[in-house]
Amino acid sequence: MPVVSIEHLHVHYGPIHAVRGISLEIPQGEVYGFIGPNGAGKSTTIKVLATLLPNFTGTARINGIDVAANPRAIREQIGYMPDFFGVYEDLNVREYLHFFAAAYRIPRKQRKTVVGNVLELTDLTHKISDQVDSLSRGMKQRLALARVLLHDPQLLLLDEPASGLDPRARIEVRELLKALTEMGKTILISSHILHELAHLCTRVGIIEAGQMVAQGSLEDIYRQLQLMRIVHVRLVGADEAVLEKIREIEGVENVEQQVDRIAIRLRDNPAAVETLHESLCSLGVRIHMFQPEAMDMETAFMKLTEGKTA
Amino acid sequence: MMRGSLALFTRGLRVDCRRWPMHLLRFLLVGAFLFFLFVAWANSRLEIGTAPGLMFFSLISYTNFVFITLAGTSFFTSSITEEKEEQTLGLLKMAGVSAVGILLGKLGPRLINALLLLAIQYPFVQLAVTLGGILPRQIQATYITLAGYIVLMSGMGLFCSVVAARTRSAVALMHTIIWMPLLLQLLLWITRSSGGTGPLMQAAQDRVGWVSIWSVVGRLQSVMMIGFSGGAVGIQFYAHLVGGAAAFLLAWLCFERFTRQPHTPGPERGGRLLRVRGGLRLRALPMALFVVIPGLAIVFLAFSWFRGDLQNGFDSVPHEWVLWESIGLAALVPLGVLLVSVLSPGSRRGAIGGCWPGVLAPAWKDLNFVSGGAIGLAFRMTLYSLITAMLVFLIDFSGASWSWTTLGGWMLGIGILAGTMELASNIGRGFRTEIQWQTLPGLMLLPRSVAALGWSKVLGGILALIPVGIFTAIGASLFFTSVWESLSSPFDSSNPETAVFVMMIPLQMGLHLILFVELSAFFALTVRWGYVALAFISSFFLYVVGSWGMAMVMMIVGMRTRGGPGGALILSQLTTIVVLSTMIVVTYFGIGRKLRHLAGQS
Repeated sequence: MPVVSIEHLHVHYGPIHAVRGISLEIPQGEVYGFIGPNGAGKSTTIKVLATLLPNFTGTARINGIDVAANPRAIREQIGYMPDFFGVYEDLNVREYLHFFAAAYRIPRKQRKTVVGNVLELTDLTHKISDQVDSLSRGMKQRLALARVLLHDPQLLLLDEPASGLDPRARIEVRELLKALTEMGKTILISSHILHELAHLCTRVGIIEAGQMVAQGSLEDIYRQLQLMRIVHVRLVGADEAVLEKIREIEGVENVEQQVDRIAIRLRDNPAAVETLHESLCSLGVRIHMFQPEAMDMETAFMKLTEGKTA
Repeated sequence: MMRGSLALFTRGLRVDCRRWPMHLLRFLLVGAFLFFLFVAWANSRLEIGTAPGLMFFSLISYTNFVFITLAGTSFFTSSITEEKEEQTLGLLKMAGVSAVGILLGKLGPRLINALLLLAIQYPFVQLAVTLGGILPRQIQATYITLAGYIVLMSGMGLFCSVVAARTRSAVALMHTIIWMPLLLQLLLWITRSSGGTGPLMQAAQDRVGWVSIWSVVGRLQSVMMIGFSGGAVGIQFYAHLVGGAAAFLLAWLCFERFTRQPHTPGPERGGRLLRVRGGLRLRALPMALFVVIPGLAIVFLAFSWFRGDLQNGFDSVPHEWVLWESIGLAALVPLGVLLVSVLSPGSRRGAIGGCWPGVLAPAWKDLNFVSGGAIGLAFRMTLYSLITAMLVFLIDFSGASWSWTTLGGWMLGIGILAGTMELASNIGRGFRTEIQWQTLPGLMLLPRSVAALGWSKVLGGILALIPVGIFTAIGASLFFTSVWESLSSPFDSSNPETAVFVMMIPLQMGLHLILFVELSAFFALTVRWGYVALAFISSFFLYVVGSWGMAMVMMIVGMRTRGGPGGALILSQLTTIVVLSTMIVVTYFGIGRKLRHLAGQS
């Protein structure tokens, strides 16, 4: 049974149709990256799972429990970290964590140990007596994560956990998430920092204007994007006749003459790049440059999305 | 300067047009006036009083006075602090808008709005002249008085807004500024009544009277008198105009000094007071009281016994003793708390772990960090002890015959009023801080219902009422005999309708207070500032319409159908109770809905 199961999720904010029929499943122990431009519906979907948005259609289940029907049971099993720092600045770190530990009904005798453990995990032990308002942004983010971990939830819903952090703090958060993954937590994480998700996630879902554009492992998504793979070549003495011959090569969708290169767009064929190279050689042209466009998360994101919002 | 000022001015007017609480206020004001017209008409039908026009106009005038006072403590006090809280004041300065430009641009729209609200009434209240009992000159004098008062309140509100870092602090400062002249007037009156006369004393009393808000009440009283022959413009108008201008000037002079530092978006930060407040655990207070109260009781009993005061019973104890005991309690409670914190390491923070479990955790947090914790409770104990001492002194001073019942009556009345206001403020702040700190989603994710979360906030607010609760309980116990007598006398009468009617009064009052507290919580989730004022106005309006209105309607109906008002009065009370109960239920679910909505939106 998947930990998270969403089917045909629709969410409306008044006249705005924010989420339009999203479906996804996240099995136990997986780190699922949720990618999309601002306003795509990522946070809304996460809030539905966090039981904060009761008005939706479709089904959303966590460990088989319906989110709409039994939100209190869901809250025992999830830890949700929003994309802003929601911390009481009057309290110190110890009071803050003890407060939430008490609120989660952790027995008084165990609280000190539990708080100590999450502080150690988030590397905040030395800040235990500091006022929350004196912490840096990165530390506040780690404190928020420590709060989320207090009741040892099985599923973590992390909405932009690294947004607004400096590079060092981002790396620290990333390392922390890796540690949580190793502890077997199932994580749903949304982020704009795409290459970080590439390092962390076992699967990603790309969402735009409330719709899932693509989802699967990174390899699956790259494979899907082969359809639009571009190879940049620079040929010595290439004229219109050569370009016409290239257009006739099997697997070539179109050929575009640019200022200093030729951009060759290939059809869906895993071996198309290699075939193209062989074909160009057989045409007898001298190849000065042959560069398939690098496929990474940012490229995939840019190719799959158009910057639309719901 | 003018360009920036005008830009701010235009924006201010636009924003006010878009704010629904402003429209709600206008709607409530218009609704109140229509209702007063109905009351005047009903009075003439029932042949109560001889001047319905005067009654109609008096009600409108005093309602305006209350509205302006509440606006002064909420509407005007946020003019600059809202820019500080939104961290946009620095941007305005960087855009080249001068200090006076910002002040004019921010205060202007609010002042114009308030004055327009007054001006628009003017043609309609001429109706009072046709109803009889009032002259156009009196109407002119009243509206000029109120206009002067608006200018004074706007100036003082602006000054508080400049000086304070947050709207909440500005409101507190404004209250202090309003109450200080009143207290000073009281002290001068006491001194003068004690024989402290002389030209200097008289002059001081006059000067304080000019800036005191009581001068408005005094002026309105004299204007409303039949046969008023004074001028339309009184000295109060000039005094308030000068006072308003002086406050504006002072705000201008202070502007740079108090807006130099940038402000953070969260609620009020740190500071020594906060550190001290957070440095003590709740257990410090009962430990201190455990020493102070028995100590004072022993001293009280020992001296009374020694002097033989107790031989004729408790009533024969000289009231001076109550005075000194109250002052002693006021002084010893904070000292005791400090002493306990020094002697007992366990009473200080550091070894915390005593947060109450489960649903009680938010109550623990609110009690400690919103209502002031041990220090806040000790402060309020001191305050209510001082109020008791002041009551004893004033009862004695006014020449009224001393009795425990009189003291108990005052304590009970003040306790209920202060307790209700405190509860509304505590619960409202409890919710407001969650929104300001963006912590509501974290709380809503706790594995419990929204209702449980709301009730834990209520509990936190109620626990902070321990000082006022003790004060009220002592008052109630002293007053108990006479209350019981007044309650039991209707039951002895042959008319059962009166007994039922009397029984319904405390129920109706209790429901009204609950509605007020609920509305404070609801508005705290809805508006950024002035939620207690808005709740006060709304619940007052509902109370007036719900009780007076229903009473009037039912009396007319009852007199027509049954020939007497007795049954109709009960029916009117019953209708009011049903209306209030419905409103309480609706607001309760409204709060839950709002909490869910805010948690989802943040």
